[in-house]
Amino acid sequence: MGLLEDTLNRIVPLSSETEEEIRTRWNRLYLGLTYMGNAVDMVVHYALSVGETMPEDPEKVLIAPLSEHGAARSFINRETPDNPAYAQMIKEAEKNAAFAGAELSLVDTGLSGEGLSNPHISRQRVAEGTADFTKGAAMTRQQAIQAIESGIEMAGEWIEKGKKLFYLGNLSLGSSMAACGVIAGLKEWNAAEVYRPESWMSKEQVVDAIEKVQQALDANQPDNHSPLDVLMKTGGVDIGFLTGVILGAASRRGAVILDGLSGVAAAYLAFALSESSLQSVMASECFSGNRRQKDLLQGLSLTGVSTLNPVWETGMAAVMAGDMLETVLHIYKECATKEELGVEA
Amino acid sequence: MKFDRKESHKSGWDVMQDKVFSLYKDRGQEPLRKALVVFCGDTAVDGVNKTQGRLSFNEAAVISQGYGPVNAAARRINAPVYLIDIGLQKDTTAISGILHQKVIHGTHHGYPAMDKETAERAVSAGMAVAQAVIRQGIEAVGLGHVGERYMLSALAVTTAALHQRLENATRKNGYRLHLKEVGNLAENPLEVLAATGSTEIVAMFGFITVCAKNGVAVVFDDAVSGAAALAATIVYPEVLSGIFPSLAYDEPVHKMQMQALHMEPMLHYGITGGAGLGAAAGLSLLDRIMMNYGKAE
Repeated sequence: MGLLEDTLNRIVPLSSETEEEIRTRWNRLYLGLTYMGNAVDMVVHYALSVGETMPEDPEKVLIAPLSEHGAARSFINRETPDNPAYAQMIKEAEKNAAFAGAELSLVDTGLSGEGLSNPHISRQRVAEGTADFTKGAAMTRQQAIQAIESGIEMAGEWIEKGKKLFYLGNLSLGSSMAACGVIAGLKEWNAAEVYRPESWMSKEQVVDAIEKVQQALDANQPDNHSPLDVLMKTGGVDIGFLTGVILGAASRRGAVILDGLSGVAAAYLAFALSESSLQSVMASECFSGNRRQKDLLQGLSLTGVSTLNPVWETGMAAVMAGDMLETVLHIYKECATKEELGVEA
Repeated sequence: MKFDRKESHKSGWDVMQDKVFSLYKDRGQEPLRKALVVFCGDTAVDGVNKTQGRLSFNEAAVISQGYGPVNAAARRINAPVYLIDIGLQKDTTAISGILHQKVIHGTHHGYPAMDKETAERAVSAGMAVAQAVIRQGIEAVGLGHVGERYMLSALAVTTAALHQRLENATRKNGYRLHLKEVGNLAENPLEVLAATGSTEIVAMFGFITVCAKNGVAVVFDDAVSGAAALAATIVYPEVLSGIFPSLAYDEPVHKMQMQALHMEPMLHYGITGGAGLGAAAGLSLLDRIMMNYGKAE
């Protein structure tokens, strides 16, 4: 049995009794005239994921892959590691991790050549970039499985080190195209409905990117009943890796907060592989402005909590959602119950 | 080569970052010195009022003991919580941990909500709290409130602040909205606030004005603190550079305020009546932004 299959077998539905216990405590807490909105669900979700009714402050890690995408090469000047955008993204990811008090784990899953030199980068290279998916599959089926399994391994390594909360970023240039390819492929939507322009792109580049993704969908005809087929044909190594992190976390009592379209694409793949894997997943961005804004997260039964719309997928939105999760965890643990205070609602 | 967002694509985050950078010129990247300031006051106590101020009294008492949601949030961001009774219906003198600045035992139902002298005292109290906060070296404040029937005064102040705009907007659609004439907020702020406000909104108005003029950021979250922020910008437009929204709501009064302020709150947690909980989340955003300070160099 391979690692992927073994991991899928280990993902089981979480206990509804634990959820009831957590919600009962929420109902007993004295919150004054405060209505906590969807912040309550964040705590329920996290506590269920880690299997604790009074969870400790989470140990965190921000994980982000770096990969090249064949289809993006024609309109991104240099997708290769000498592109100065990488340095900016890495700096921002470092700040996000520092703000969150999280470890930073950048993973070279698919850069070319020597890759990048940075103490936070480890190498688990599945391919030196993917093939241009407008001309055929982005990668082989074996590479797709390998990408997912490297994510599962990475999640496992961090869980061994005591991490329970995973922030998912993606520092791959052109990742929006692969994310869009996966979501559109799985949901049978048009690329234009899903594509999220990277904000530094010109209108021409955006149109070009959308056309390329649609071309890839039309040419490859991914089988939307087979997540592996979709990933290998219209995805990227980075998206596969993130899928693996979600599955790895779900199988070993970890929780995940998504960041950007890459995270959503990975969540769709994880969901298609194992519905129960989403029990451990929380969303951060609302994706305002996206034509499929509502469907995008509703399809995963997730709720966005911010419209920060950061330039990159460096984990900013995930980290800020995690900051709120920690605040609400403190409220959940530190506020007294109505009985303890001797007051009514 | 930099990959900054194009001007036309600027998001709420970019706008907030630009404002924060211009507010804290020549400062390092370390976290801001923060505080949460919670003004307490009840609205329309002589209208339908089954609780007689019991709920807001209880909440103020619990916050004063450190057990409120806002206390937990404040501890996480290393911010003290200052609780001020500016106009609760019930007497709070027996509660330690509350700054007693009560100007009235709750405001009246209908117009005027309070007399002009009472409003003046509430504004002064808000200004005095701001000055005290500034003296302590606080650089960013999250605003909260405790009180009952707060949406009545939030709506009344917002309507008064946008009076002309609302009438003009309805006229364009071929009918005329008749709003009660309560005066011009920009010209007679005290009279208008006395007519429409509640004490916590009026105190927040004074507080915001002093903070923003002294380069102290004020983060507000809901329609109540939003009403005070809107009123402050109408009377003193320069205040705009120092105020930041945090929570986004579908609730129409808050939406009107944000539209008038040209602001785009970015957090969608659906928290209401949180006594500054949403503002505390907004202060975290400010701290994260400060880490980017100087990145263009």
